Amino acid sequence: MTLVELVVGMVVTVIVLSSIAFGIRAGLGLFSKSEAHSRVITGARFTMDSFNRKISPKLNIATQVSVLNIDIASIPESSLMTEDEHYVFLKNSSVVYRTSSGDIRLDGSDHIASLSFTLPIEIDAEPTNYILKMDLHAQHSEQASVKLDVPLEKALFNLPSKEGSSLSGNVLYFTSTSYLKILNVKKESLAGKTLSADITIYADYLIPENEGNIFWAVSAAETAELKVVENENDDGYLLVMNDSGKVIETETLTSHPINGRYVKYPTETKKLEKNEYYLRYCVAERWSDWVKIVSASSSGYKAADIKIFTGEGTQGPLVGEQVEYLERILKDVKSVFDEAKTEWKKAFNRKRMEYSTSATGEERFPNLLAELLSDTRIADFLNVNEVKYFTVGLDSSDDLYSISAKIGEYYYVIYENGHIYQLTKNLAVGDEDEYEDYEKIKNRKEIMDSETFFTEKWKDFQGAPPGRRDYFVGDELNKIGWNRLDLMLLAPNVNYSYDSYLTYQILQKYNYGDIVVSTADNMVYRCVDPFSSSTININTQEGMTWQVVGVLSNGKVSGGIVPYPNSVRRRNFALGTLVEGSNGKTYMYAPVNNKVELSYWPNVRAAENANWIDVNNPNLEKGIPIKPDFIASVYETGNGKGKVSSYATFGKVRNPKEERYYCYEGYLYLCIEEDDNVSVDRRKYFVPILNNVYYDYVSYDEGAIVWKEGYLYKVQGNVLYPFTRELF
Amino acid sequence: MRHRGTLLVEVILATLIFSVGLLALGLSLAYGARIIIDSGQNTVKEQKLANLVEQYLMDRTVKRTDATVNPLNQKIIHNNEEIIVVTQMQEASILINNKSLAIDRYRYKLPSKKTAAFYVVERKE
Repeated sequence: MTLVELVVGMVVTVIVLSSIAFGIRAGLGLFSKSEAHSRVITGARFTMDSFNRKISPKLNIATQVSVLNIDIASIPESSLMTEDEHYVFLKNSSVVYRTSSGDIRLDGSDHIASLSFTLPIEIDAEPTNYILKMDLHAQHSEQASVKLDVPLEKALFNLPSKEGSSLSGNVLYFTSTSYLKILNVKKESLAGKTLSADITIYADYLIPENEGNIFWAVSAAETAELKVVENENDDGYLLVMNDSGKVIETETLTSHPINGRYVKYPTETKKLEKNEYYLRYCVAERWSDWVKIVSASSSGYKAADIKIFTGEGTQGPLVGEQVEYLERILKDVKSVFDEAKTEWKKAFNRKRMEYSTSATGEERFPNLLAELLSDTRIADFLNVNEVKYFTVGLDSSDDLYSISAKIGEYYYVIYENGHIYQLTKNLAVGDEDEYEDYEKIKNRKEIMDSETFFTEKWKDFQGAPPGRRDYFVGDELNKIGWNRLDLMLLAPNVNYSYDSYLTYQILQKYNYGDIVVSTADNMVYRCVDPFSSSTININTQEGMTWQVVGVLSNGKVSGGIVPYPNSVRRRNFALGTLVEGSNGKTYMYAPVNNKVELSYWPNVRAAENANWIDVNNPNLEKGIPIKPDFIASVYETGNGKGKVSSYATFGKVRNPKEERYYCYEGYLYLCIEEDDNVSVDRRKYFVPILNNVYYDYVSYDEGAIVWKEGYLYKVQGNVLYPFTRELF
Repeated sequence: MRHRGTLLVEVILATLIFSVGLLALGLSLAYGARIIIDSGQNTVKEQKLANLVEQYLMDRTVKRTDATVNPLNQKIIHNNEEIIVVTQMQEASILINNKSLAIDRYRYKLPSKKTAAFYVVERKE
């Protein structure tokens, strides 16, 4: 062997060994990277698969969906959630599905680095508005270059309601129950809303016995006889129409899809001349194979909210009787509004701008209105037989939402939801532009394009209905007194529900009357001091800033009872708030003389229990207590006229401004005369805005209805404090 | 006999053969890795395919007979490439309660995948 050969051999050996080393290293690297890719891809696939298996079925039947952009620490623990609540979020690099049963980590989601949800906030019935997008970003923890972005889209078939204003976020929250899809044949989507009807009707997806198509038919019970009937109370099936009066799917009834029973189909298609039905069907487990249908009535009240009536009349004490009574009232209200729309058109076409007619005349509207007022059994309306005047405020008859009537000395306003308000004697109706010329407008009797009220005398019963705007007249202090009369429609044993509310944000300033939900304790609060709202945390009870008014359930302020808390057991409560005591009983907050202050939860300290009434106590001397009707309007924070201003220490106000509101001890006041450093208790300078709540230092007209300590009272004379009063 | 040159040639040949083998091994590893990485993109494409189905079903749910989405016009766009994925199958019928109902069928399938596909069945209008 020569030296050259030896050198060449060594070089070749080095090359070979290097190649082997490089090959092994590159192979291992490649293998490692491939493995990382495999893990990431497999993880993403498993995550999507888990999502589709575990979460999609619930999303299909969701009634409400919210995309939240929050700290996951603020998501309630499972023990605080209801069965219908669901959260999906990323925690410790895993996708977590949280329900009341606990947390479930989606299989294979170990490598999910980020998770975001996007859902359009628009609620129009457009397909794109109900596609939930989930962006899944998977990334290997050690090899950052190994990643995968998967866009997952999920159709929300149930057209759930959407809460919040966030378009995208890191947390998906939704609620779902078994039978959710609500399809109104009038095309009004009521998804997510509670219906007031107590009639449950089942609908089947029916197939004709002979040639024909599928159509829908409904029955009052699953076991109903399989025949076509025309009355919902008959034993059989009703054909279901669409909004144009056409039977859905336009076919005939012959068979039952579940147990194979058959019935003879009619010789011709019959149409049910009734279109107020809502179809509810499950879209998750079974597509359209059966339908739950409930009759529709005027919305605004829930059956659970109307279990007591303390007005005059003999409708009976039983809950069923009271529910029946309320349904009749609401039905009458609807008839009145329907007729008002019709007659408004006639009057408008004839240039007739005034109604002054007898209830026994030919016009249907005054007849219906008189019947309605009589049916309300409010003393003022007994024996009403003449409607002297009414206006309807609307741009078109379709927008009609309230009706005003003058009966005797007073004006009354009736809303579609059945609420009835009495206004001050000196009411005038006019356009907003005319506010400076009271003489011009005070006697006019026209049906206005816009409903606007002017009064010339201040009344103590204040607090306009939500959405109502009052106007001043000239330089005088002229406001409307809104005295709600239909207190009998308020719930005795559940809290109020709210269609809209704000989610509490720390450091944010809220207005007087804002309904705010704290996700920390699931309680619903009402802001009664806008100036402290940004400094006093909603969960701490310092000063009279937040009043508990209810509880959040299934993402809604649903009117439930506030449960006994696990931690802090002192709160400021709004009058009439219903809570669960430590003994499991239900109590209403009804403090002595309506004085609201920081209170312990009931049954903890005997002294505090004087503020609470056990609503289910059968031995209550005055019967079942009812809730008050506190101010629903929101008063904006600010320093201008009509805006809420702060109060000074101990209720002393320096230089109070006329026409400005002040808050003090949970109540709202209006300054009616300026002076320096006066107390809000002084009637001369401030009047409380109370609606129907009793308050000392306030004069009441004869017949006024006030709430005090859990019960309604009626003023027997126009007297000043202390006035005499008589329980209904 | 002289063997001095033969040894070098043999070594060089052996090295070449070894290199070819090593290269083949490396390429096979790279190819395997490529397949795995591509499978990630296939996962994305399959999910986009599923998204199309969701979009169509949602359209049918909301618009009903006034559907705005035609399945045959639905396409996947992936890496700036349009992929046609929906085909209409032959008319068919199903039996419900012994009654025959005409149905339309659409198949959602990636061209490169032989096994996975979604089928949308709807009653023929």
